[in-house]
Amino acid sequence: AVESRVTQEEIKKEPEKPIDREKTCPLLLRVFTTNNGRHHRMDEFSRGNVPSSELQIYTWMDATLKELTSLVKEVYPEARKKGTHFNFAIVFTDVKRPGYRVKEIGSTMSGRKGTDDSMTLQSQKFQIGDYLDIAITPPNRAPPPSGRMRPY
Amino acid sequence: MWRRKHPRTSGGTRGVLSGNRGVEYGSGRGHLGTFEGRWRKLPKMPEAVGTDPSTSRKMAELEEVTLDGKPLQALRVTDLKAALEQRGLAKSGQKSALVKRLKGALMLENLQKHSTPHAAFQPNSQIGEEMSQNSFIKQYLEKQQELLRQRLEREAREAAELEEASAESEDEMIHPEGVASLLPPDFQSSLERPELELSRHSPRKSSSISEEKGDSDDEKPRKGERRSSRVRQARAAKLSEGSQPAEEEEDQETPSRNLRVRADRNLKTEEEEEEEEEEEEDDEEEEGDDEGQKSREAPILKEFKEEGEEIPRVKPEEMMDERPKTRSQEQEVLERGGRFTRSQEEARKSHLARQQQEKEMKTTSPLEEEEREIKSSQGLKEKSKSPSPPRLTEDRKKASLVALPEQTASEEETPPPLLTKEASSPPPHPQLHSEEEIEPMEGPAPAVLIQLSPPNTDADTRELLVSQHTVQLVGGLSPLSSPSDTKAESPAEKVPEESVLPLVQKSTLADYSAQKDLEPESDRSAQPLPLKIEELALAKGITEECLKQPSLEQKEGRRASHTLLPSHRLKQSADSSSSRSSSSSSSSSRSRSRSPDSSGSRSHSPLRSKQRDVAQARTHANPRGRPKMGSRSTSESRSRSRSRSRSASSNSRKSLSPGVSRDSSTSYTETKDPSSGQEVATPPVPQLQVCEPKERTSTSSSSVQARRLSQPESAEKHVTQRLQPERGSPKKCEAEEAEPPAATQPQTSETQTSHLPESERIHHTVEEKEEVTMDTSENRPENDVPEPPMPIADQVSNDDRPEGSVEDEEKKESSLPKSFKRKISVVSATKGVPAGNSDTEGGQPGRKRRWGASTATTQKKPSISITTESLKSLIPDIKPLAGQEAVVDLHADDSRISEDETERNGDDGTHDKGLKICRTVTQVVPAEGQENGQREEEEEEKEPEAEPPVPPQVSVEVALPPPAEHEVKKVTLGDTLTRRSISQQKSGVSITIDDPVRTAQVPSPPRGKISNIVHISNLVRPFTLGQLKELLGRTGTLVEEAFWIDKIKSHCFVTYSTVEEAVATRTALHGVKWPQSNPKFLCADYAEQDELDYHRGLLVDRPSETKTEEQGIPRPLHPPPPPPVQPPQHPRAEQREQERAVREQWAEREREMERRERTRSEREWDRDKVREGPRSRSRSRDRRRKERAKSKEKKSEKKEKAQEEPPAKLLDDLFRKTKAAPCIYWLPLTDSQIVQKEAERAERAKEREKRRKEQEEEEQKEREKEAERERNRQLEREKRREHSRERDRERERERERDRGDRDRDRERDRERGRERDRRDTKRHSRSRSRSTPVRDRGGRR
Repeated sequence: AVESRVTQEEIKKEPEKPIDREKTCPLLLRVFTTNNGRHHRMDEFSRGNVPSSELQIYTWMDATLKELTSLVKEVYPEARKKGTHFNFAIVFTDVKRPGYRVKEIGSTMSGRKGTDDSMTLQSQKFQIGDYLDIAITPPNRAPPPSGRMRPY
Repeated sequence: MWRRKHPRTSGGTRGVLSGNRGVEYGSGRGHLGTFEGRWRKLPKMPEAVGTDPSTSRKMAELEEVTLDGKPLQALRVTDLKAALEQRGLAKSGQKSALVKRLKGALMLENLQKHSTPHAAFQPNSQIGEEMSQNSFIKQYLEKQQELLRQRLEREAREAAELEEASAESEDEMIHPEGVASLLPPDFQSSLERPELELSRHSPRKSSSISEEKGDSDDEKPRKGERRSSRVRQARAAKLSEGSQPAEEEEDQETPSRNLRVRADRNLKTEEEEEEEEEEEEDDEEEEGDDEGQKSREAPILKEFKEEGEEIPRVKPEEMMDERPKTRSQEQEVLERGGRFTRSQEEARKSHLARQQQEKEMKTTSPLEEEEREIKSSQGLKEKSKSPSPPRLTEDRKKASLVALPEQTASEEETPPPLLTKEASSPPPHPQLHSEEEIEPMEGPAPAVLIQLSPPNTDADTRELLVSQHTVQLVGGLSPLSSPSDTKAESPAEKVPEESVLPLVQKSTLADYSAQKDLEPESDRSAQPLPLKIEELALAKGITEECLKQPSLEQKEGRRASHTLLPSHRLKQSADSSSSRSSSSSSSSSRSRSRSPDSSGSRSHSPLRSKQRDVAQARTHANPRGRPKMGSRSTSESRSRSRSRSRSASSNSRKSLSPGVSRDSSTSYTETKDPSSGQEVATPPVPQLQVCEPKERTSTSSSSVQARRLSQPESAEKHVTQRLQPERGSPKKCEAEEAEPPAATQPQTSETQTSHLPESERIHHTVEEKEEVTMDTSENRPENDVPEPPMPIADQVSNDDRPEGSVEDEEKKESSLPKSFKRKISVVSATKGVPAGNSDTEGGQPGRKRRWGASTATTQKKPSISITTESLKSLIPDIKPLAGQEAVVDLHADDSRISEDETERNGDDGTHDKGLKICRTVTQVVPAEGQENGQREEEEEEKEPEAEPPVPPQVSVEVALPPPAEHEVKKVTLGDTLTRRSISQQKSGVSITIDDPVRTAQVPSPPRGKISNIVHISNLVRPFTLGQLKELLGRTGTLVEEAFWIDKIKSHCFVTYSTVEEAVATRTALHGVKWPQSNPKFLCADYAEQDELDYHRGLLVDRPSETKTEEQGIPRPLHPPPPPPVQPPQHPRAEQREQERAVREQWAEREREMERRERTRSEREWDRDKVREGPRSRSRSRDRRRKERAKSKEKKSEKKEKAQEEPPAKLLDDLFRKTKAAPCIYWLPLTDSQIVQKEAERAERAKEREKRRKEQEEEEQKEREKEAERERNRQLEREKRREHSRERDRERERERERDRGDRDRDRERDRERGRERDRRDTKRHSRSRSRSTPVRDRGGRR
């Protein structure tokens, strides 16, 4: 109970404080992308396994989805096309049950502004050590319904 | 490769007689690559011999202190005395005295032995190759050699005089002894009998020699020195053998060295050649018109040549086998050369012993030595030149004397039929004349065209002419292919060889003169000449043949063969094809056009030549193309004057078609005979020059320098000239078919000779790159000038030059600039120029410079100058020469520098003579030019520092080079004053500028009204503002403030102080190519003030715009009404309109460029504001652009952000990271953080403590409670027990009462018992009491 309290306090603090990125160590954000519009299945994360399409991004808790999108686009030129849809999800370990759980946090689209662009990791209770799963949908395809995203 | 083969084959076919010539001919196009090979081949003779001398020498050295292997001191007195006696020395005195004496004698002997080998084996010999290029070093080497030679001579004389018998015996004995074991039998024998050895070693030589000997013996009784001559011949033969293959291989590529070598060889071989020529002539006479005979001879010749070639090759190998030592090839070569020389020396010594009586031998011997030295060390070749000019001259004189009568006789004797002799043989003359006449027929049209017609028409006509020529050539060629391959080839080969010989001789003469002069450059140039000459000879032969043979089919065949030969050089094919389709390929067409033009002009004769001179003068002024052209023209003209062959060669080199060569030859013949006529003809030149005075004025300082050089040299030259006339005459006779009168000969010979070197140089330069020619041409002309025949020569040269210029102009017209360059390059390639270039460059640092490449070469000079100084300090003797050279070098530097960027200087230099003369004679313009030029010079020097106000950006790029050059000059020159004065004397010295190349003879009439403002367009970088201004300044004084050039330096407005200057500028620069890299021709026209103002930003409204607006009207405003000045001719008006349109375009372009430049610097979204937006469409465009730009900007900003964010580098810098695979960044806590954390921790600890205490307290309380409870229980239990006890007591009491009542008696007893009982019961009761309470309890419960 005590510990939980502490973390809660920290969480409360952070949104207030802008992060000085020169003084705050970047966190290692392990990003897994798919280009089929669907997130990875959670069993792909089980037992220490991770999907092969991993990007490692050093960033901070105040990173926005837009920012992350731009970083991804740097790596995947094909994702620079206008209309490419990025769906973000946090993959975290479930305390209550073994295994990972996925939680969608928002989506961005290259070439367009979106409401989620300014969404930050910490605003989504991202915990350092969590994974980020980005489902990239090419522009010509409609973004997959969100419901599908959570088979589990 | 094919080239090599070709010359070889040609040589082979040519025959024995021409063998030497063939070699020379081959050498004419020497390939550098073969350079080494040649040496190897050469040495073969020397090798065998050389080994011996080297060994002997070594032994001698060892022996210095020893006699017969024993130290002198160890010898007995008797032995010493014997030895002294042997040497004819006094044998009285003590042993020490004897030893001394003997030692001295031995040393002397050794010295004698050594001296000769030394010359060959000098340490410098190796250096020579590397350093030979450096003129100063050359000088030094030459000096060295001279000294050595002198010493040797001295020694030899002493030995001969003092110890005649002993020396003889010793020399002979020692050499054979020392060498005998090592020497092959042939050589051993040869030592004693040089002739025999020669014959053995070189079968061909021997055969030829024997023949020659027979002839010479019979024919040349005049020489008292038969033996020496024979020896020479033999040597020459050897040399020729050795050299032939090498030369053939190298000929094209290795210019300077080969030339030198050849020259030496030629000198040696002159006699042989003469003899051969005689023989040939005889043969030819015999053959008459029969070509079959020639063909017969040809194979024989081939065989000989082949043998000769094979032998040399084989021998070195054999030699190698003999000496298994692993030496580098070069060393071997050198050694061989040394051996060779030694062997020769030995032979010579033997001769001396035999013929000591003949002092001539000595003279010859030095020559031989020199020759040997030259041969031995290529680098030392130069030395040979310098060493003993008088002796050489004497020898030459002798030779020439001998040769002259013979040659002249032979020439006279030799009837016309000899096609092969071409140049040398008189017979061709008639034919040639006829051909010449024919050619003139063809040519005249072009001449007329040139004079009258505008450039375009001229070009066309020229092309036509060219085509005609080509057609003729083609006709010749076609028959060639099928019918007379062998025949044609053989004659052709023969011809070249023959022609080559004279040429070579000439070249040798030139070399000698050059040596005398001690001008490294001249030497170099001269050296290359032979090669060129050879080529020329070939060309001549071709041309001559062509000329002679027009009627005869065989002749045609020969022509074809001749033509084929050149074609092998790539020229023919190009020429033939190009000539057919005159305009098809620009390069080819150019070559054709040039050739025909040149031929035509030449054929036209004096008038043309005059015109050409004028044109050349123009060319001088003109930047690029002209210099080349001028050089060519000069070369051509000179070649003409000298010999057809030369001219032909020049043409051929130039890649001109055979037709051209013919023309040249014809022209040449014309010029030759009428040297006086040329003089007469010259006067017109000045007039022509008047037309293009400005250009002349541009003549560079180099020419002035050349003059200087020539002057100092003149004395030397005079000396040489004496010799030369004689020599020259025979040569001329040989080379020039028509050299009728002996009286004329000397002058002509002189002029010719002088011309020859020039032409040769020119040729070299031309071959390499026509641009480069400046130096050589300049130097040569100077030489000519000082001599008595000077006027003629100068005039001739002038004539030639103008012709060349005309040709150039024609060429320009016909050919595009690019093609021109290409052509040149092709020519160079064909000629094996690359190698040649390297050599020539090495030899003549200044030569090839194109527009940008100048610096490297120019830079060389300073180093050279340094070396000279050092050399001077080292060798005081050289001083006079060095001083001359230094002066020369300075000039050369200037000329080179000028050449580097402009070449014009060189042309100027060549022209300068002519210009000078011309000026004196007539012209007004040149003076202007001079003045201007002077101003320019000064201005130029100033310019780099204070650059004109115009666009700084542009200037930066190009501006730098010129100042650097200036600096270089200063450094090298040291005495700028003298230079300046010189330059002042002559027309302006423009150091940096390319000579404009005049393409069109007559500039098109101006479109604009004449004004003092000239608009020059079609400018193409690279050029610096300073260079441009220098160019513009040649013809007038610029108004600095009113000069405007656009930012990209594509066009400019120049304001002159006077209209005349503007006119002069336009005439000078319109239709000219400048800088040389400019693919376009400059367009110069007059402009109006408002145009200039507009461009300068003074006028808001653009005149051109107004014009355009007004253009709706038939005649758009030429802002200042154009008609007034020039009576409006309709064509003119049209032209003006066009011009306006052009200007408009320019303005448009300019605007565009400005816009672009602005946009570059400005922000994109500011473009619109800046832009004057008169055009609607542009606005819309701009808007679009704006939007785009904005979006772009945003994007870029974002990107910037993104980029700024995380650069890994920064992260690494900012944070520490783990070494584990995906690293994790971390930072140590700060102190405050630490404090904070510790505080937190402490807090936590406190809390924990508290909690613990509380817990403990609680526990304690609980414990206490429990304890109390237990206590309570115990208390209760105790209470219960007490209760039970009391009851027990009461019971017992009751029992006791009961008992006492009954038994009182007993009671007593019982009482006792009772008491016991009591006690027991008490005890009992107690235990009972205890237990009882339980009972009670239980009972209770």
